[in-house]
Amino acid sequence: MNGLNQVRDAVIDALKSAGVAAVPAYEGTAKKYEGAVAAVDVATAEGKAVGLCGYLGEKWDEETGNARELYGLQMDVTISLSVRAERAAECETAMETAVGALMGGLPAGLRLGKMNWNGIAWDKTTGMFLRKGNAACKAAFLAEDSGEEENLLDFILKGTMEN
Amino acid sequence: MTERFDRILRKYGQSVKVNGGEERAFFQPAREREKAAPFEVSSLGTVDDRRWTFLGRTELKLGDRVEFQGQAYTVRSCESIRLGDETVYWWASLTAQREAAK
Repeated sequence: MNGLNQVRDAVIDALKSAGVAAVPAYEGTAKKYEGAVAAVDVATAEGKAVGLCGYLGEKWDEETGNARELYGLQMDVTISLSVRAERAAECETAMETAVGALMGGLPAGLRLGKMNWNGIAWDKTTGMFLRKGNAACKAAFLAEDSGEEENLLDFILKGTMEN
Repeated sequence: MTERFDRILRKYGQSVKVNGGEERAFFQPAREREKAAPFEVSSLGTVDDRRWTFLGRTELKLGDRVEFQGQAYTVRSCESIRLGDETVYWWASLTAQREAAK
């Protein structure tokens, strides 16, 4: 899974945990939802290395008894959210819940900055009410060497479970 | 006039289900300007925006469900068509119903 999809999926998980149905944006055919639904996308991203060319240092692996090297990457990302519902009130409520989820439900590696939302509008294409918003976040990724093979593992968004 | 329309429907109409009840109606694709693709794209996914026209004797409301050849459609717009004071038939514009999310 690439870094941007990790950010998108972390936001989707946070929204779902808060009780708002959420899906990746522009994926497949639009479905019919009982209540509100949010489409989530990473609209912009800009990466920069942290530490010394990304090198953060070593950590001790208790299991193997070896030191493992840590690398970091930081990205400034803009998350795009489109909250839709067949009723305006449902759309408003879901947007407020989504704001709460972004403010308090994101993993440690995603730090929320500025957020802005457009007013409610009618989306003719889907036949639903729509509130669009953007959230600027700083995303922190960590990678470590795999130990014995001396290969660098994938960068993982800090604070999320590794599959 | 309604008897004549009923005869025409029986002879030339199609079998449809309106809110679960079977009847005869004209159910045809609505003609529209040529498009590059038979769908619109939104962040929620692609939406089949092709329109279908219904002409039948059953009163329809916005959001009603019409089934034709196993596919469900949703009423997006509808009007009664009158001759004098008599409602002869109902016209409706429909789109294919979206699959329910799991």
